Amino acid sequence: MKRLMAFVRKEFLHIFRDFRTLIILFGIPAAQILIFGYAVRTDLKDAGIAVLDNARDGVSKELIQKIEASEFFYVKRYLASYEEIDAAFRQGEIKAAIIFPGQIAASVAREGSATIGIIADGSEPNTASLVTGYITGIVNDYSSSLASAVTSSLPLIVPEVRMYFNPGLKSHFMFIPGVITLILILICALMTSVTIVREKEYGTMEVLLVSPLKPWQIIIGKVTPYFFLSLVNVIVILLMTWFVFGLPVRGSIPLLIAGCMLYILLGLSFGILVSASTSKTENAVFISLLTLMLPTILLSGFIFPIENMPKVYDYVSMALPPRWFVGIIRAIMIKGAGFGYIWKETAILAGMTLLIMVISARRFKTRLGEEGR
Amino acid sequence: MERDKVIEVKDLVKRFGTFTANDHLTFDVWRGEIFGFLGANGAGKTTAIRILCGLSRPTSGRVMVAGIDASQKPEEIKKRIGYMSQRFSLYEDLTVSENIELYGGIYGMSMKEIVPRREALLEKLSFTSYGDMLIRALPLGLKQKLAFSVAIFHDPEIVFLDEPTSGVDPITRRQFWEMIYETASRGITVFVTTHYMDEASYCDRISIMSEGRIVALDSPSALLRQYGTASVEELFVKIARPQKIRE
Amino acid sequence: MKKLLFLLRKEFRQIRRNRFMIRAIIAVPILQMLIFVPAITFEIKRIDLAVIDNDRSQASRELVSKLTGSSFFVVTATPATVTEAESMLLSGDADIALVIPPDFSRGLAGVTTPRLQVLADAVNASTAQLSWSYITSVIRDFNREVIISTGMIPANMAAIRTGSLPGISVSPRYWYNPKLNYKYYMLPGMLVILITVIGLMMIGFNLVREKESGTIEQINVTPIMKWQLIVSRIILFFIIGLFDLALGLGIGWLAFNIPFEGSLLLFFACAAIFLVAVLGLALFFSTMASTQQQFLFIAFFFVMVFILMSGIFTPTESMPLWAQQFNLVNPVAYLMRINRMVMLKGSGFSEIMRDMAMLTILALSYLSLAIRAYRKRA
Repeated sequence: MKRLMAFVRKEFLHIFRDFRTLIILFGIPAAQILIFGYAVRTDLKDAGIAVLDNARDGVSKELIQKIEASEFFYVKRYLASYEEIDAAFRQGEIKAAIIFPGQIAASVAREGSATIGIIADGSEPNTASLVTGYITGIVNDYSSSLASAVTSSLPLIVPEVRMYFNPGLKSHFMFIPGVITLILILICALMTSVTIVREKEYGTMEVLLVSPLKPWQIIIGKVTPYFFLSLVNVIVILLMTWFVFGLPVRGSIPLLIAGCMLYILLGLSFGILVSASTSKTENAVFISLLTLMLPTILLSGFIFPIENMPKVYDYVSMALPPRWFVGIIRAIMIKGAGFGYIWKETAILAGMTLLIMVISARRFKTRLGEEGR
Repeated sequence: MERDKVIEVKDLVKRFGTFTANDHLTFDVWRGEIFGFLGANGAGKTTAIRILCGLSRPTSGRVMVAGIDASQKPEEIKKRIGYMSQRFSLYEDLTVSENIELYGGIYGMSMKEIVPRREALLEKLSFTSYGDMLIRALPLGLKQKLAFSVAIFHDPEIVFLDEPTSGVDPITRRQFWEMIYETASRGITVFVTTHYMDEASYCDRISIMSEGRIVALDSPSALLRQYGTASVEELFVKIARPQKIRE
Repeated sequence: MKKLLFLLRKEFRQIRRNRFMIRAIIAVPILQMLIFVPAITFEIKRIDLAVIDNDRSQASRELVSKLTGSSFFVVTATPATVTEAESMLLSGDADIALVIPPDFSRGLAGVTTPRLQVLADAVNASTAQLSWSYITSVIRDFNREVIISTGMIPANMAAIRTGSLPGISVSPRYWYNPKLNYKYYMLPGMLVILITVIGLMMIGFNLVREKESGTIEQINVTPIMKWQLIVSRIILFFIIGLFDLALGLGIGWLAFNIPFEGSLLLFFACAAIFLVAVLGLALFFSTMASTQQQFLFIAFFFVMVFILMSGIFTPTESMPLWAQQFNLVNPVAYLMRINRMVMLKGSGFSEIMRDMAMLTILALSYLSLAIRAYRKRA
């Protein structure tokens, strides 16, 4: 046991001596939190639009004023003709063009209705639908204010909405559980597999193998520091989200930590499995990135909801751990759900962890046996 | 008789921060000789060799290699020397022939010049059948011999050998030294570091470094006489150990 | 020049023997295009709806059937109480709950104000927002139909008789991608990520491996010039990068029938400039690392930041000022924009000139940074 402790201490020292490792450990979580919190925003702000105003009357002027007054848009260009729209789009200056038909005020007064055209840049589908949605909303508001004299007597439905868990509609509520998942995979699986493979490449693994340390002790020694570092990282991320975004953990913190520990174990076992399957650093990196990072970013539902993808992805993601882990974290952290709501996900994850642990342990034993000879 | 000096070092000092790796080294190497550069680990040999090869710049002092100032034009020096380090450094994933071609080409030889010389070299090393083998597949002894041959393939004026025979079996070592003699007889100066004291006694002259200084420099026989020791090994133990340990 | 050819030959021979690299060069574009592109979408396909119908009237049933008549609302539960619905939001069994109050139909008849309550799981803010705006538009349509059918129309409003409430409507159209196909949006971006990752990671590993194995020391004592060494490395991975770009584009064409409006030549020219920038950066990172592991960490960090900030998922214009300023030195952001403009909108040289110029400046600066930092010495 003493031997093991000494070995673990040596591994810790290794990690802390290298500033480049510390970049991964603390730089990446910090950068991701900031980027996902502030930069990657799914909402609309300051989108440039062009206006082709064929009417130039009270209605069009008022509408343009209302559109510009919103924080979503600013009018980048006033166009003189329909032909100019294409050029403006191709220069990438505007997200949409609004076209007011001639004599819009007159037609509203005479016929009670008029139609405004919006041409949005479909090469950015999400922005395009947001832009048309927001402009439609502004026009509708204006339109009902025009018609209020007429419609006040009508039984108009008043719909109201309550946004649960995220009343401010902040996009980072969605991202933070994903960031935790990503970081844990990165540290646990990628870093452990790379450090173990490196020892093999350098031949220092053989030195360890002929030492009185038992193979399992070597592995424990290698992964223990990463276990604790991962936990520290989880805590750092939670504190950051709390202090920077004012998003505290709504559910039980011990439950959250326990969930993270389970996932850390899974990641570490997977890292060991990868390191048992290859003896070159680059290969370990590619395998880890391909089998872990990709599914984490893609199939955990952390940026892109799985429900929106083709059905196949839904089924595939069920076989992969990140999906279940993101579900757990999201439920505890943001929804404040108790264990009763996540026992199913936890059980699946625990089963997967056990399976990977058994496979990697067996794999490593045979591999080490070969190399020890 | 004044001999042709191919390396002239005068008051060479190299400092890393407060640590002085080379402390006022002064020595000459004559053309065509085998010069043994000895010293305990950490005595400053590698630092000096790196300066002589243009890999690192002296802090102060004058270093002339093949008539070129090492602190002014280190790249010019590189054209005139060959180098083989203790760490084996041919490309493992290239074949024997491909490695020869690569280094020949880097030193400005054309394929027309390279091919006949390559064939001759392989013949001489009785390597003909190995030409298309990857370096990775060769045993260490062969690799070292080949690395040496590649280092002198372009006929340099001086070849630097940094512990060329470490980890090699005695038979290969013997063959390796035959190659060194043959090289010197062609007029190429051999500058060699080693930890094998029997090898040191094969040199024309040896210098022994300790704590960044040269503490002895002469032919092996003259040094034995001067210090009254029976072997180079005894001599080395007597004078090369750092001050602190001796006391 | 001749020396450069020898070096180039060496690089090509080495890559040819590296079976893993060859496999990665072929497989990464294929996997990335086929797996990533169809998956990345914000387009909502399905919303699980829980309905608490306390009114149980003809009108309430009609409203619900109007909602489910659309393609993405599916009624998955009919809880009895709001508490039960909340618990469904919590467990994820429902995304949205619609609460219809008991006096809903009386309200529609003009007795009271008709109200509706929507409870949304807003963890995913954009989905919640889009669902909400969709629900309100369905409600508005429903409302109009009810009003017309009951004949409660003020005499002076002729328009309502013909089917619309008075006012101004909006008719949206989408250019360059009329069906708002997400694949068209993601594929150009994925191509950028592809060559970023391939270029940066592969050249980096190649450079650092020589450091680790000691062969670089042997090269350093030869009279080879610094630029010859650097150029020989860059050329190989430059070619690999362009090859993978062509491969990825070809897959996009075959698998997703992606349109290509602009000039292929311009597209590849921009990618070439970009590759120089990325390879320069990789070279610079490699001077900071002495092992592949260290390189990986440095490169991973920057690649991640560059890609996330580049506007791959969300437009850079909605980012805060500091992020936009950062993007001035982010080569990925430039190519991301250029690729989408050239591929989808057919933008020509004059329209992307500014971005191209900036990209060129970046490429030259990163390359010279790398050359300066590269030491042919210890």
